[in-house]
Amino acid sequence: MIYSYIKWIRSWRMLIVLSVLLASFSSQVFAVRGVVFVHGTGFQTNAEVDYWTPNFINSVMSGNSNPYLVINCDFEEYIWKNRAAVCLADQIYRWGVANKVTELHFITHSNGANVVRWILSNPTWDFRYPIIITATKNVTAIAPSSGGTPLANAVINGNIFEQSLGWLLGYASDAVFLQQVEYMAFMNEFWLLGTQGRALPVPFKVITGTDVESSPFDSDSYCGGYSNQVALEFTQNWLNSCSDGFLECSSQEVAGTVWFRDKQVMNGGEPLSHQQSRRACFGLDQVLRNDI
Amino acid sequence: MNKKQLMKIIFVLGSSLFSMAIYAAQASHYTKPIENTASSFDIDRSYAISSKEYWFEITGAALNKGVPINNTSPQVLMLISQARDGSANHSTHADFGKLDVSLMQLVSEHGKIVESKGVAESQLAQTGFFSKSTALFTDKAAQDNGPLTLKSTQPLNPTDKFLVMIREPQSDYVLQLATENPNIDHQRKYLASASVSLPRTLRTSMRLLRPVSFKAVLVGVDGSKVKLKSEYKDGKFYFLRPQLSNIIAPINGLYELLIEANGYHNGNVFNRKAKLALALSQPTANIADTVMEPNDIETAQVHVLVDEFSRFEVRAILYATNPTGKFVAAAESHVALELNAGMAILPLNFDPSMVAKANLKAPYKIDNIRLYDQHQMALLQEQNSLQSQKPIIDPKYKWR
Repeated sequence: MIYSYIKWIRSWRMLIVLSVLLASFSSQVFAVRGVVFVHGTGFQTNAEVDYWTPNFINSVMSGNSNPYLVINCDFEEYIWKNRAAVCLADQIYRWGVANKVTELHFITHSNGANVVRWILSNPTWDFRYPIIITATKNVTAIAPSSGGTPLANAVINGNIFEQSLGWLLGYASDAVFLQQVEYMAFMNEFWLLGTQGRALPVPFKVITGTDVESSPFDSDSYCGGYSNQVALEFTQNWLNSCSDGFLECSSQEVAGTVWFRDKQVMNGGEPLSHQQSRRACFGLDQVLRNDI
Repeated sequence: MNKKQLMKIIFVLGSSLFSMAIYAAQASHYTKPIENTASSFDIDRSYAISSKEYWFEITGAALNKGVPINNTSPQVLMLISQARDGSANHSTHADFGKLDVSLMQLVSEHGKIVESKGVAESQLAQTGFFSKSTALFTDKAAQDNGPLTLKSTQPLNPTDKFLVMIREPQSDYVLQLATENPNIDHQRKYLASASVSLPRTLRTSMRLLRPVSFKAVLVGVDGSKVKLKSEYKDGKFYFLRPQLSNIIAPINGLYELLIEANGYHNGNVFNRKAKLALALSQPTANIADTVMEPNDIETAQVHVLVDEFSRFEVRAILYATNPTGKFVAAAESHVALELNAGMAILPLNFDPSMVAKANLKAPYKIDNIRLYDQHQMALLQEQNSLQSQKPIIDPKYKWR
């Protein structure tokens, strides 16, 4: 008897879910693919200008009529918090309904990929998550901080004084705290899908930044406005030899599948530093545009 | 059947449907197909990390006098952070009181100044990661193998606080930490184990490990610190789970197991620090039973005994039979629901069409069942028929 009830309830619930999906994410027969840009660590109120730059966004979106959304959330928070993942889901949901979007194409940078992975991995935490998972056809994760970074450890360890309470110094925040190597290992083991043997429900393609060029004789070094060589040399030494100046390659590639490493595809075989991988440097914008 | 009996049946039926409808309204459910032929999932939760770094706090007076850097290899990276208000770009006090890296030096034990590169606070701030830190580092090809002394000739306020982080990428002195599972359940005796690997010498023997002393502290996200007791066996120190009066749920941040190792080997004093992220939680529920008829996946359900109100989630994997007669993973179900204390049934709602599409059929079984408390963000319990009972001394190493 109870099983027939469960079956009845299930069909009833399926109807609700389907009607919500149809009502919210359009009932059109043809697909409307929306592009969502998800920023990295930081509290953004105008990420299009302050994080990505209009030049980059406009270049990626040129030549197609897809609607796009640039997320503005508080990614100083832990990824599971309302001001992070729920904020992201809410902005996508409202925009998706308004624009009759049926498919989602994510472009994330750095820690933004972790927030998206939280949603993809934990569908029962919010009613919008399963709708987003169902609509998602692609995640392009540029330099994702999937495995954390020893530099986050350095920031945190270098800021916790015996007598201090909370984050008194530097750029330490809950988000930086979580991007410490052992914290991300914990998250990957228990809460985030995408690592080996724990497949995500959607394609998660990684673009890996492998190096930083800082030669004063190479104008390419200045794309992205990052040029302090001695500081770069220090952070590069702190990390493994394969890194984008913030993340080691192994960290970027620990979740999802590697789409390409920068030097394989970028113009002139240039590497993408962590700052350059959210700018229109070396043809990255064109590659992303062609993929949409 | 009289009118009274009929009314009773209608009432019971109505109540049941009403309660099921409430369940349906509150419950979140998601099922996804598993597109592989895995016959079992990796249930090894062990984690290990190694460290070639350490950090310590000093005062301005000590920095003026000279601080020993017990480096064990020529290449040393030093990050020196200052405890003060205002960021690197803060102009109110101009550069007053900021550490001037050009006035810092590394001195060998023979009193010779060692060649090094300095990164000023403003330069390091350009990376976007550090705001009140300067850096000093030597090259791989540096000649001095240490020990070195870090010193500043800048007149510093004697009571100013600084934190020095040392990283030695080329060193052979490595602190290793390992845990059987970073999710600490209530039966666990040990949180983790630690050992130090040392460079080979002619006198290498296990006796050399004993002079290493370890200190272990469990640090809560609220700043609380509990010193841990340890036991020594098989060449490693094992740190015991402490009794905590108040457990901070993982949703508010993880615990940090901070290990400090100090020792003397081959004429060198060495120091290392490392940490592990651990989750502790309140045992608010447990899995009481799992039910499924082998030929009907729609009957799959998990019975949960709840001690305390929360929102609970069950995840389980459905295994079905492939054409060669082997059990393979077919789908994973998530069901979440707010539950009060008492026994509750969570139907897993596997979709038969999902299994049929994958060309799989009965018999079925459910396995890899996990119970979570979402209010704590805690994994409360795991059930695996293939549960490994690996001892803590044999972790799956994941090197940094």
